[in-house]
Amino acid sequence: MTPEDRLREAIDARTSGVEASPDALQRIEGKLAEAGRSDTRTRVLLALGAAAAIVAVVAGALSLAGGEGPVADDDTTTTSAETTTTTVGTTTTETTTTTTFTPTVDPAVPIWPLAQSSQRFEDPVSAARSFAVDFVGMIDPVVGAFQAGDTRSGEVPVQPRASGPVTTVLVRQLEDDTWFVLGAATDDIRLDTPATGTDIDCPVRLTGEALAFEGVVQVAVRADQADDPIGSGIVQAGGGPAAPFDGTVECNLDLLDDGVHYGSIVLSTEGGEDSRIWQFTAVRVALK
Amino acid sequence: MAFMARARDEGTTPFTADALESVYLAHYRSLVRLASLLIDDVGTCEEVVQDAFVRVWRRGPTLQADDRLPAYLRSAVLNGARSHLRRSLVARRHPQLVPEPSPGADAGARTGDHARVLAALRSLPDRQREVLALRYYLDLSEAEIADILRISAGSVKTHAHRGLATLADRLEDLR
Repeated sequence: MTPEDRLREAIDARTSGVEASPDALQRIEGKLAEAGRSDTRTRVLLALGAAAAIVAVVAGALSLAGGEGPVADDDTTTTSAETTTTTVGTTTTETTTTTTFTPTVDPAVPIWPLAQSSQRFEDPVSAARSFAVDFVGMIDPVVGAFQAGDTRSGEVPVQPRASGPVTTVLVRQLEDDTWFVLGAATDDIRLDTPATGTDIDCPVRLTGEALAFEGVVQVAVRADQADDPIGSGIVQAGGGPAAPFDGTVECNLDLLDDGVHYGSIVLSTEGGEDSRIWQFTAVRVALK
Repeated sequence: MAFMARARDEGTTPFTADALESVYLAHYRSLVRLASLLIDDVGTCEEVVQDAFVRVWRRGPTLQADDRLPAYLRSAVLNGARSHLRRSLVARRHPQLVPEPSPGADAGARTGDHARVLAALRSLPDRQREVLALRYYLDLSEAEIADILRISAGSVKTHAHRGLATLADRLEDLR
């Protein structure tokens, strides 16, 4: 019997014994209802946040109108435009002031937590750990101490186990004074293109150099608004010593709404002993 | 999927309750069975598939081609299964490449050689495991598998070849 025949037989034996629960459809409908309620709660919170922002802007404007001088506020941007209209024999000058609320954290900057989510981290190590586990998918990583770069940023080393290779997670305290992950790098996976902050389209071409088990580097293209990767695949770097890779990974922007979206590209390698994620490199990109 | 085409013609959102039931009846069981090739616990398989339905439903209006729906669902199930496996403490505690069959559960498939083949399949790297499951359970073409996994047809062929070679090696004593 060939391996294919054995596999088919085993698959048939396994799947023929699996049946759906009689209440499965009702459970799906229940989950959909709960998801709808969650959306409603999110919309209410966003509305409340927007209302609070408007109050803050109005208060700031009143303060300025009171002649107390300019007030710097990270949450608001105020722009003024002067319009001159000329008619026969008359010149009228109007001043229009437009106030725009800017989100506290620029969604273009952090990979994790998502700027538009309510998840925040009070310390850099927690942010790095959550990133490695919840976003990248590491299992029980060893997360080291924060190493400060300046007063608001630094690095956190992450390893698959104590003797494993180090992935350096770059963290920074952003506008709301909580900690975010901006990217990650490891010596064994160097991504040359696309670079951090660049615009990408689908499919995306990746070049760089990697040292990986059997030369295989897993790639995930992620969008902030999608739970699952919008694209995934591998690039092949060749086995043995570090070798260059140049590959293309398919992804799908059709699932995203119109407009500008942000996301990330995560390259990871697996350990030779099991399928655990061994190390990873992650960059922030814009999806166009 | 005539209901989706009809809904488009009528200018309505295709994902009505009736549409959900139609999709459910057409795909749910096969998706649970697909997940069961990757995850041992059938209850967890159902959770993964139900979550996939929820994700696809919530993005329904953006799905423009009805014939892509099965591919979206399968892709969502595989992603969910992969996420579950990576978080699984069981995987951490049992890292051996070809685990011994555990008696009791899934008696239909967990007997003798079948259990060993299934365990060997689950021990493969993600992509190899998924390609073989899609190919030998759903009998999909390389192009269809490539569409679901969002990789090239050439990569599908490579993963299938490597996966089968590894299985043959690990199950050599069954010959």
